[in-house]
Amino acid sequence: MSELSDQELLALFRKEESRHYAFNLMVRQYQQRLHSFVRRMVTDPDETKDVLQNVFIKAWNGLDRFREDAQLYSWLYRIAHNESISHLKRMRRGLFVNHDAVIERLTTTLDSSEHFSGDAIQRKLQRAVMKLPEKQRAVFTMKYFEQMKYEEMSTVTGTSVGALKSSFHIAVKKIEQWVTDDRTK
Amino acid sequence: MSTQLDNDDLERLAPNLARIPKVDPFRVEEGFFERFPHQVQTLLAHEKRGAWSTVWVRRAAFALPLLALLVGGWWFFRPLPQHPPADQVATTESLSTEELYILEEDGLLADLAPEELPEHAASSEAPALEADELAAYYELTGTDLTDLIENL
Repeated sequence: MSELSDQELLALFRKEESRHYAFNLMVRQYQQRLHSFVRRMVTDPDETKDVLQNVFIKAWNGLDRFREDAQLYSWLYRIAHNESISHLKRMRRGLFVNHDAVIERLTTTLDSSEHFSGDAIQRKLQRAVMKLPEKQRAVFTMKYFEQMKYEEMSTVTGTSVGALKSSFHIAVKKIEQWVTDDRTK
Repeated sequence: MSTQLDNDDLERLAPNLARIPKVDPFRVEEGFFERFPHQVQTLLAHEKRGAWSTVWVRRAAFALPLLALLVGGWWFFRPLPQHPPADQVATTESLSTEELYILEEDGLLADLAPEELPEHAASSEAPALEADELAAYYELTGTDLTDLIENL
């Protein structure tokens, strides 16, 4: 099925009789790209699914207030970004642990996951990404893996382009250091 | 140092990172993306029902304590049957002469402390009169002493 434009999806969504159909199309259209981002942030497949479900439920509840001058994907991505960060913070608070303990848990999840198909270097990279603070991890994931433009990232995160460039630069330096350290060990 | 970073910058800044192929190493279970939209729709149906009940639970959670507070307030401040203090009765209602005669002196004095009693009431004995005082009293009241002696 060919993808519908944002305007076509929204027009269908605003009609009561095609509301669910339009939303279903929207989920199908954007689920894979959003899943990829959330998975890199959260790592665990079950938690990724929970976060993604919350993203779409929030989208359903807020779609009536969506402004058509914005991009639907950016708006969904912003919800996914906020939900992922909230999930990681909740996990930290729920476990009464610090950032390092959360990393430890995510690393264990990654190592034991049968849904991770990467080789050793991919595993090292993913471990290094998980060491980044939540917001920096989001910035790195959006720029490095998703190759988003800074302007789009700014819309998603609500952070200035300059601050995002800085954050990405710092994240790259940290990851390079961790990947290099791992290689030399 | 510039923070502008493109691919060339990445190779210069992070050569080891730049050499790692950008692939998605995460797998999803078979049929995940076919099932997921249905799961979302199912959740939305639950969400609708849940939203309705949640609204009523929230209303009840607000209304019940308020109701309990109102009932408690009414109970605490409700008007009680009036029992005015004795001194208020004495000052606000005057007794007729007949009512005053009905009152027993002992009853009136019963609640008083000994030091509050009038001097003549402190002793149960009648005040003693001299013979000439008694004679003057009988003369004043016109009492016939002969009748008095016969009646004793």
